[in-house]
Amino acid sequence: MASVEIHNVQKSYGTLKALHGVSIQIDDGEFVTLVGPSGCGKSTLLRMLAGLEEISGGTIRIAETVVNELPPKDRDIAMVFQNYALYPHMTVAENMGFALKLKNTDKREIQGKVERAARILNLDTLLQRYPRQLSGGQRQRVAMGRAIVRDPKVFLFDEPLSNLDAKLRVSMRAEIKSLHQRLGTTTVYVTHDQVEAMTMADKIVVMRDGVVEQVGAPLALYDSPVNMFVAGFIGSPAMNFLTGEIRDDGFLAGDVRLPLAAPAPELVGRRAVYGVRPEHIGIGEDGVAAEVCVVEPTGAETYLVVRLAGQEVTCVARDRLDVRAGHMVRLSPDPGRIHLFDPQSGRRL
Amino acid sequence: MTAGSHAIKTGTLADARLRRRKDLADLTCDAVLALLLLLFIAPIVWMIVLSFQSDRAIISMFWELDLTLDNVTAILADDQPFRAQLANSLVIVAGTVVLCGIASTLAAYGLSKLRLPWWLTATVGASCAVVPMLPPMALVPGFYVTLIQTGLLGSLAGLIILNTILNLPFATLLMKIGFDEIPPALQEAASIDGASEARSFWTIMLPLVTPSLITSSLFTAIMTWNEFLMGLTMTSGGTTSPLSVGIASLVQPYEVRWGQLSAVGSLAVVPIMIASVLASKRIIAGMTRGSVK
Repeated sequence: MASVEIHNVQKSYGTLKALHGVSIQIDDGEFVTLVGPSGCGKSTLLRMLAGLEEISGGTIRIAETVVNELPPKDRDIAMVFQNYALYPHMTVAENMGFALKLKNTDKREIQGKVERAARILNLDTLLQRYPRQLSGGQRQRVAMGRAIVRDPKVFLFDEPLSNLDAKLRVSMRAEIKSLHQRLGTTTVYVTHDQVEAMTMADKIVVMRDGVVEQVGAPLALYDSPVNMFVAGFIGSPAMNFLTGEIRDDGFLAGDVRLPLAAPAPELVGRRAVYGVRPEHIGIGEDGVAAEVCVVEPTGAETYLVVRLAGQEVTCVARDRLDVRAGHMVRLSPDPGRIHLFDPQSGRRL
Repeated sequence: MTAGSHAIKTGTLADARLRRRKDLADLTCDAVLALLLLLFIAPIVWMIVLSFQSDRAIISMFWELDLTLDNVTAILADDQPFRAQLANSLVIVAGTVVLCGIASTLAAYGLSKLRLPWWLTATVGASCAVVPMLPPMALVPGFYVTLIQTGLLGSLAGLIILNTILNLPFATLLMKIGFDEIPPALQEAASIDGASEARSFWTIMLPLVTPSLITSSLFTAIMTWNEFLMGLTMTSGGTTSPLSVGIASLVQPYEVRWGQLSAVGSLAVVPIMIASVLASKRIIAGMTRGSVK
């Protein structure tokens, strides 16, 4: 186990800058998720951590040692790839024991370690199979087995669940989390799926265009996003944004007055973006009237897309509602859970 | 009869008609293919039959079947060069397959997996595509002088090198397709697992390109076995030349020994035909690798 320190790390491809001075502190045993849209640099950062990409600037320390110039094999890390990267001509046992074989470990010791990892991951009966004879979920588990057999200082996961179907993804998510709880190894996990990030991580790093937007615990990011990007990225369905003006008795979006907890006096009269999560909008007898555009029942919840102050707003109802497109509903956003942002910079006010 | 059963009956009739039309189309297709097969196979079968016919029966005005082993025993006799030429051909093929296999595998690995400068990859790739298009005759003077200078003229080693040069471009391109298909993540996984570049080449890359290597080796073997021009120009004939050249020596100004010519021809064609038939699936699979995904 080890801590990881990423300090002012930059990556350039010729004149194109992919990472602009990223700094992240990952504590010993922590599960950190790098999350962001495609092309934000999260996978590049992970690959730099693994030693698969050169570092253009800054330093990366693993267990207090600067690893900038170290080849991947000397960093004592294990990585699980998006497409599993299992060796197709080797059996499951050979795949899992390959790293130990390269270290000239005793055959019996390799067998013992492989069997122990296989037991943890329920792969005992599949050890003599080839990757092509396994399902997607089983291959994923073998890839994880290959990583844990080595007992590395740090686990790196590069979008490991994105090739699995939705149901399997949920169960593998829980498996990876319980594995981390059991082994306690420092883990860096890259995903573009914010639900994965929220459910698994001790700490989330939200990235955009090669810059870290916010670092924090999942619920801290959910409750206090520093800008509109993080606010919109974390949480599903995404946060609603309405443009308007802050008044001392609420927020004026077009001709609709929305509830707001007493704003700071210096904010009164200023233009702003009113951010409210779908689950923080009550649907009932009171509140502002809005026309229903789309009703999406998911079973447990019902998503309503309504038109409010000329803009589309999503809200979530836990109860089953007898409403259809064209009906009018009354909405009451929870004034204590409103986020205000600057319309120009997108920063939280 | 209900409307439903009527519909079903109409459906069955239409199905039957469709099936009949399909049968007819299949039959026509089969007949055309059989005809084409006959067209291709007939000369070879004829050649094999001729190699067991007496010279008299061959040049007779009428169809005759006078079976004899004279032609075969004649070409395998000690005073004939064909046994030596067969051995030469086998050695040249084996040597070329090994040398070309090693060189093309290493070159293709470099082109596909090492991060070489783009101009180098482009130049090598372009020359791999252009060299096979040159008429081999244009290369003969250069090769001839080179072999004289190196003392390899007339030797099997010289022919092995020339055949390797001629087959290397295509074999390299074929091997490169094989390497291109291996996901980069496998090499990365190996490097994280602790494998050096050489180790990952031997234990991961090489086993995975074996199908491509088999395909390119078969192709090289066939091309080398059939190679004529270099065998003719770089040897002094007789026991120093390969079998492909030996066949032609039987066509002489005042006499063509048809029976022996056919026997040597059969000796040259049959092994490679058997190899081709056995390997055809493999070759087609190798050629079309990466074309559809």
